[in-house]
Amino acid sequence: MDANPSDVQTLIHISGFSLEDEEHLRHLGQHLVPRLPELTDRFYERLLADERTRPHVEGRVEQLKKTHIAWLTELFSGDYGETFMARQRRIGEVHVAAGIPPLFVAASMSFLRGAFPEEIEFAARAVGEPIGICTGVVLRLLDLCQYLIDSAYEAERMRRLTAATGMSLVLLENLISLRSLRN
Amino acid sequence: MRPVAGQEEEMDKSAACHQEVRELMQRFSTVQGWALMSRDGIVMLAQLPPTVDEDFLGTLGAALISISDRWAESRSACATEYILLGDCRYRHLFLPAGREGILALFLDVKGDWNSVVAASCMLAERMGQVLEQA
Repeated sequence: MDANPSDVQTLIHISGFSLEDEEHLRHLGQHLVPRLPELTDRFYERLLADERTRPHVEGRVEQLKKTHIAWLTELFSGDYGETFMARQRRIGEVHVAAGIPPLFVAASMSFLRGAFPEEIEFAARAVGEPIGICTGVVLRLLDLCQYLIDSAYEAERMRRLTAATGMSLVLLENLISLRSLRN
Repeated sequence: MRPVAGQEEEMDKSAACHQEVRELMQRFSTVQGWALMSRDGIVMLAQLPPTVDEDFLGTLGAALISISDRWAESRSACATEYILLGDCRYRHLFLPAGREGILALFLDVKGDWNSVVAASCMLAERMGQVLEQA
C-alpha cells in the first residue's frame, strides 16, 4: 500500500506545511538553486567516502549527480501537487528495484537537513525572511519527501513479498498484526 | 425478528458447512476440531480445541496455503490439494475450500488420520461450492 492520501494529509497538517510555505520555498529557490550543484558535490563526496554506499554510486557519479540536482531543484518549484508526490513515490520504487536500502534515504535526508541551514542563512537574508522560518519550511518539505519515499519503498517490498509468497496484502497485514501468543 | 435476505443466505451457508463437518466427525472420531477461514486468514466458522488461537490458526493457515499454491505454480503443477502438519498432539490438515476458503481440521495424533485425508478433500470441495454460491 502506497502512502495513504489521508496519512499524507495528516503529516502535512501536523507538520504545518502550508500554502505560505510553498511561496517561501519558491522565493528561497531563487537563491538556493544555484547552490545545489555544490551541495550535491559534497553529498557525493560523502557517499564515495563510505565503504557501504560507494559500490552503489561508483562509476556513475556524474549521472547520479544530475538526477540529484534535478530532484533538489524541484523541491523549490513551489508546486507540491500530485505530480510532485508521485515523483517522490517513484524514487522509493526505484530504490527497491536497485536494491538500495532505506538507510541510504534516511542518511541522505540527514545530510541535507544538516547542510541546508547554512545555505538557507544566506538565502533567508536575501529574501528578507527570518532564518528560523525558512529553515523550518525546508525541513518540513524534506520530511514529507522522506515519508513518501519510505512509504513507496515499503509498499514495493510488500508487493514483492506478495508476488513471492502468493499471500494477499490483506493476509500479510493480518500476519503483521498477529499478537504474540501468551506462553 | 426474521433475518433479512443476505443474513438468511449466510445462515444457510453456515448451517450447510456445520452439517458437512458434523457428518465427517460422526464418521471419524479422529477429527477433534475444525475451522473454516477465508484466504485472507479470517476464521468464519470454527469448533476448536480450547488451546487453539483462532487468529493464529487463520492467518498462518492462509499463509501456508498461499505458499503451497505458489510452490505448485512455480512447478506448473496443480493447486494445493492439502497440507498435513504433525506435532506431538495433533495432525493438522489444511485444505483449500474453493477459491475463497480454507478448511482446517485437527486430527487426533493416535487416530486413523490417514483415512480422514481423502474424505476431507471431498468435504472441503463441497464447502468451497457452498462458499462460492451467489
